[in-house]
Amino acid sequence: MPPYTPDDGLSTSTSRQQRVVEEDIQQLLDHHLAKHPNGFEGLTLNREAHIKFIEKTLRGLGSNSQGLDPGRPWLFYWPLNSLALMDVEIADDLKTRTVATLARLQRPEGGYGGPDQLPHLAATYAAVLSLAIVGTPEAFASIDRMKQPDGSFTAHRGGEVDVRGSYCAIVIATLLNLLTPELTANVSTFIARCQTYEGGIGSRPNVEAHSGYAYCGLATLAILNSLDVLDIPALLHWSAGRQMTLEGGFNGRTNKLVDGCYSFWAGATFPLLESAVRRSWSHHRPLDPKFEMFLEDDMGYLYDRRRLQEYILGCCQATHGGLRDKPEKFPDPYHTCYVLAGLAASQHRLREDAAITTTTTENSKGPMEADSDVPPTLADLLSWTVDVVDECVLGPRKDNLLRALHPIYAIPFNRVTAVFRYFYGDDQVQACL
Amino acid sequence: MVKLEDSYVPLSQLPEWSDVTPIPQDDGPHPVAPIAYTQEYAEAMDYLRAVMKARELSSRALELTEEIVWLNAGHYTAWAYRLDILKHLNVDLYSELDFLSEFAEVNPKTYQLWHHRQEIVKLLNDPSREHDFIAKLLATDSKNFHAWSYRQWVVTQFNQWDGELPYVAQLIDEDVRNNSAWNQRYFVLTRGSTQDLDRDTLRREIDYCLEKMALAPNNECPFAYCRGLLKKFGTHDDWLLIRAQLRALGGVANAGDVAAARSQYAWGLLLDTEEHLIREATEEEGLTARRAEVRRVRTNFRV
Ligand SMILES: [Zn+2]
Repeated sequence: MPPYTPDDGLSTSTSRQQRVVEEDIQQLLDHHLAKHPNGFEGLTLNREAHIKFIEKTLRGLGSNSQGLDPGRPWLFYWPLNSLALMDVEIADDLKTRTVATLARLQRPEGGYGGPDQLPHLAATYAAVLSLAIVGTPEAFASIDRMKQPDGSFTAHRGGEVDVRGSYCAIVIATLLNLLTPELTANVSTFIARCQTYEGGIGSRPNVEAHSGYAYCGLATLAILNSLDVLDIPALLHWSAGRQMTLEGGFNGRTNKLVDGCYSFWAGATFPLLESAVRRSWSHHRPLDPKFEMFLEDDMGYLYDRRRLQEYILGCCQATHGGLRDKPEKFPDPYHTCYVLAGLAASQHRLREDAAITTTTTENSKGPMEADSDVPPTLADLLSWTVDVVDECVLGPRKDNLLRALHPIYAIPFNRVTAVFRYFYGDDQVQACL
Repeated sequence: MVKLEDSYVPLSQLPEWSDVTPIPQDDGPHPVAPIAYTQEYAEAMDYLRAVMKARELSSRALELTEEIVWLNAGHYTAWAYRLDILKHLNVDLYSELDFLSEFAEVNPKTYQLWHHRQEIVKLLNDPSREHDFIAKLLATDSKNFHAWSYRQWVVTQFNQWDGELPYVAQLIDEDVRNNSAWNQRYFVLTRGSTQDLDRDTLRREIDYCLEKMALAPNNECPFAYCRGLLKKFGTHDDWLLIRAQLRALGGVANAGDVAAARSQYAWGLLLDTEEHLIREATEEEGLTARRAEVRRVRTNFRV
């Protein structure tokens, strides 16, 4: 009998839904095991089919994708990031057309939005990342950086305020060299207020903790050198709890169902968390003893990377290409991007260089006292590297190994440096590498 | 209700739109990832561009935004424009609430819907319909993130704390694994993290958790909730109490209930409890004096 989540003899809506998904996944995984003599090592990323699926979305989408119109720049980021992660060369023609199409989505008042729509932080984030993936001087030059977001962080004029908005605004400003004390003021305090009693982070203060917002909050604080405003052991406890026992994938909230896109949102928080734990370790701050063990033994991330890859490769690949939330769902560009991003994040061990630890030790801040009024230095921003010797790749490497993903900017590492070189200057960047 | 395809009459054939020249979308010569819009949406957007360019705040423009959000719920620009028109026209905002209630049944997970509703309720300064509106949606999806977030806004903004705890308790009774309801319970008891819990309330909550833990030991919610409360408000005695109860629940001392003994959450909380007590004991030796001072200062500060 497979290890289904026990319902303790009390069936509720949650336990019933959970059971259906578990049975589905168990069946699929059993099927793979029966089919492959090498067991899960036989699970292969069906690259060709996924590339075809992505190329089709780049050619155009049907009216059933009309709902994506307001977030049109995402339709560049999702497929381009998927291709970049699979190390597919992006043709010059596609690069040129991407720059041209996105230029039409840039608003005279600054920022990007849907066609002739208000500028939107999330859409602007997606547009800037897309252009970073394209990576040509023309792509960078097409961004009107003098008119990017102010410090108010509503998603759009009169729109909602939440942690996702903070993340988008700070990432945009970081990549374009626009970080200022005005922009970063109060950001870390706001995010700290969004950490809930469970340890995770919600969209706003008091709202239920959610993997998507936890990622956004943590990545923002990582940029701002303010990770210590959070209760890191509590966040780590909650994050580790998001990996599902039977499924291997992550869910987004306590007692919700597994979903492939959280492979990224939940999975990519682990390198950031690990870095936070290391920092507090090196500062000799009181640290939860159970985390000392994992640092001393260098046990790696506090989630099971292989089990996640089993879920991704075994359950999230649609037969005819594209990746999906869970077995009974259809693939879409969003899930294709974030499932691949989660796979990439789980394959490579990422580290933050020593440079950053030295800078933070100098102006060491106590918990809850960190002020994000001092923007990070360029060295801080470039402190992440890939630890090539520690890869974890389930299945055949030639098919399954993806490009290493930057844990903060959510694009491959090899696309990040060029952006910084362009907006901060070659010499400045060279001095930090 | 939702417009049906076959009832579609092009705007260009309607006399009330005859004075408007639609502005087509210009994606450029070879766009990447173009969307093949339905004819209805494409035309509505062409007219929206025209009226927005003319800054027309009229009732026909209002109708047009309604048509667009039905066709594309997340169209934040149409929603923002709609709000501008509503403010300008001085129309009955209660009918807007009716529209939103109907809309929410079809599109309960659209950010813009909830944000727009919040703006309207702010303008009306009347939350009287909100609890029923939200409860109805939570009855369909008891974990709707937007609904809970909005509910917190209503409760806080209009000081509607009374009645919230029984409502949350009812949802937990319906599904003890509904973590959104547990999160709301924490929100209500701490008045949105602005209040301490008095001793009686904390003990009552610990008892409540223990009851729910025993009911389904493999449900994480009461364990996480209990840990959260103890970390924030627990005294030494509260931690001792929970340790004793967890030992009993997990059958650690006497190998009792098998399901409970298998609960990773019971073990996890027990471990945290032991750790807390050890750390507290270590601290006590050197820091007793300092802690007493901190308590004195805190007490004075509150007075
Ligand atoms: Zn998803």
